[in-house]
Amino acid sequence: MKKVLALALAASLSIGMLAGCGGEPAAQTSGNVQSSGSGDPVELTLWLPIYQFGDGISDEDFWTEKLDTFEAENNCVVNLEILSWSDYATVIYTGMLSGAGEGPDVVYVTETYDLIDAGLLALLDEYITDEDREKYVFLDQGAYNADGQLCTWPMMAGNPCVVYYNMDMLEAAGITELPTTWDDFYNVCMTLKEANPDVWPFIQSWGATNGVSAMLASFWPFFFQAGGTVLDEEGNLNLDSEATLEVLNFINKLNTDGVFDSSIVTMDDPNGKFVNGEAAIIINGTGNAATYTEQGINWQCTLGLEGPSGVATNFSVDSLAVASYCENKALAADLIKYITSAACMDDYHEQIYGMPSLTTDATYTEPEPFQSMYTNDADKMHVVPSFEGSASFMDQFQQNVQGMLMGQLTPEQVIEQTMTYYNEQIAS
Amino acid sequence: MRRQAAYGIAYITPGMLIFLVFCIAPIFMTVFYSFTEYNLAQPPEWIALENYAKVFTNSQLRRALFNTVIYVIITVPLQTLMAMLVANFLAEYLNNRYGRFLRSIIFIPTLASYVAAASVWEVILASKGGLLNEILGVFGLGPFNWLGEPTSALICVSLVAVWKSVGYFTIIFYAGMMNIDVSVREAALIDGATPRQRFWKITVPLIKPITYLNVTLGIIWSFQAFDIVYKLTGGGPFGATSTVAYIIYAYAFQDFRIGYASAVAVLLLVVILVIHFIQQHFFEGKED
Repeated sequence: MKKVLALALAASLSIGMLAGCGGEPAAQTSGNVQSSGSGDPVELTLWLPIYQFGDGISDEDFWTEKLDTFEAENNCVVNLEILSWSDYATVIYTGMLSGAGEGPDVVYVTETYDLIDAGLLALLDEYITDEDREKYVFLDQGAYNADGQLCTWPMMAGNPCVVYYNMDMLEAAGITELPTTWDDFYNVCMTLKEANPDVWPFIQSWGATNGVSAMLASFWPFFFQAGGTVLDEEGNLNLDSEATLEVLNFINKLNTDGVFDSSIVTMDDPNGKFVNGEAAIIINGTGNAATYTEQGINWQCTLGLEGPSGVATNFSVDSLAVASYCENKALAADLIKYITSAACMDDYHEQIYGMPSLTTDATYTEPEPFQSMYTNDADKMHVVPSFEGSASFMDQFQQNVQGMLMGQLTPEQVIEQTMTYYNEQIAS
Repeated sequence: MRRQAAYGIAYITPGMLIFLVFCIAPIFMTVFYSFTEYNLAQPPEWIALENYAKVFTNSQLRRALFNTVIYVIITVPLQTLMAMLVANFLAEYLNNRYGRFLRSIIFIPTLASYVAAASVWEVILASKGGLLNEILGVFGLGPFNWLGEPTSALICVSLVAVWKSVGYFTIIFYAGMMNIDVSVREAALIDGATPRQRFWKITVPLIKPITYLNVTLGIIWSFQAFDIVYKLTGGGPFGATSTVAYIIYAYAFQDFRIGYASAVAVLLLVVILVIHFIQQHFFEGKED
């Protein structure tokens, strides 16, 4: 009897597993198809990342309330999922591979090259009206495919990397004026070092756990100040340039003259050092300003330094996209317009996360001095576009910069070795 | 007899199916993908040996493989020997409630997550204000940039990995030692064997299968080293602690180059198999 029972159990396990493997494929339209005439609402799945890092209303509660209006107006149901930032790009990519029913119909995207290359994003041009082009100020910062067609619709555009100064430290060193040029900046660093050898005059994150994080505030602002462009007119990577060399020479000079100490190659938390008063200058996103104020730091900031090509910095543009498998693309596009409208984003920026307004009819303004920067210096802010193998490229670039900071590579060798690796191993 | 065989086959079928679907099939799929260009979204495109041609000229991978081998050479003997000695001490001299308490303490690092463990060691090993440098400073030594110099970074990462895993292997060794027939040990005692003789002449030979298991697991896990390395050093400085496992992850899940990542994974599999056969030969040879 025991054997029979055990066999039955074994058989049921096998059948269960086989059923799991060979079951009916998920309905290709289950996530978003109108029911067969019964009047049931259409369903859309929306994936957004978490942005509420404080104690206020949660992302989920905020969007659930906002989406009620959209659902009522369009007789649809929006299934919302709020995702963590952990491995976000990977989660999105693999999630979209699941297709309709499992993956999102509308999704917040950060890295776009792979998604566009894999044909996972729908084209949005046909859903843009002339009125939209007038109203949405960051539309040209969305991601485009090789044919120049719009694939993503900007939702969060801002957080430029600005230069923060701990004014107490600067004043203690007798510095009364903030530097403007690279040369001024170098001199300020040297003065700070002389005045207080125990603190970092200026800190960067060359020990970050990946190249993307390392380069964000440590390389790209200087790169744009040197007049660099990430991609050339044909869309090829353009880092083998005079601008890159100028930046590396400048970072190398700061290093060899003692602005950094040897632990710069393992520095993965420069922000913590600045917050703790162990560093006098840091380049970081404007989103960090509130923390610095909360921590009682007497800070001031400038948009960026004036490099060989003038004042510039980098900023981020993250967007919403419609999945290519979505069967209600027009409704999905409407959802994107609704989410990015002033009706939603004014409240979102007030209650969840501050960012420059996306539309001309918005009322939200960023706190000063950042609003003035967006108003007066928007042309000085540049986006780092997504490109093929960008994560591996930036990892390799970071490693080679570490080699330079350790005195094992020259700036020229950093560029040559990184580009050789990219061309031989990464670029198709 | 035939009926018994039928029962046997029926009993193992579910387990075998799971094993085939989740363990064996992925190996063959990985080998297949290694000959293709594949990004998960579009069908794999056959490109024959192109990925392998790239793999063998990949300087970053060569360096990572070298680092990984050094990491294995440091961690496996050290954690095996330490675990064996600690287990012997517990089995011989502390087979009581204090021993049980000590076993729990030794096992704690194994339970901690890699991220938590790495965060703690990051604070200890920090060049400025790190606990280790503060202690050495009392004796007028240092400060040292433990994680900022290529050689010391790899050694530090390896030692942290040993700290993390020694408790696990200790427990396995301890269980093996407790299975040694008491009469064998008693006979050695009556014959006047010293503790050292008992350890080398009785304990070590009798726990050989356990040692084989621990060394095999240690090698496989060390070749897969990833999280603790990347939390502590991010593979730096200058690639001194980058590992093959991270490179596979980056190619597969950051760049979505599944074909190329598969080729690297196949290469890693071959390396582990070769080492495994050498190790098997070594252990069998000793037995002969």
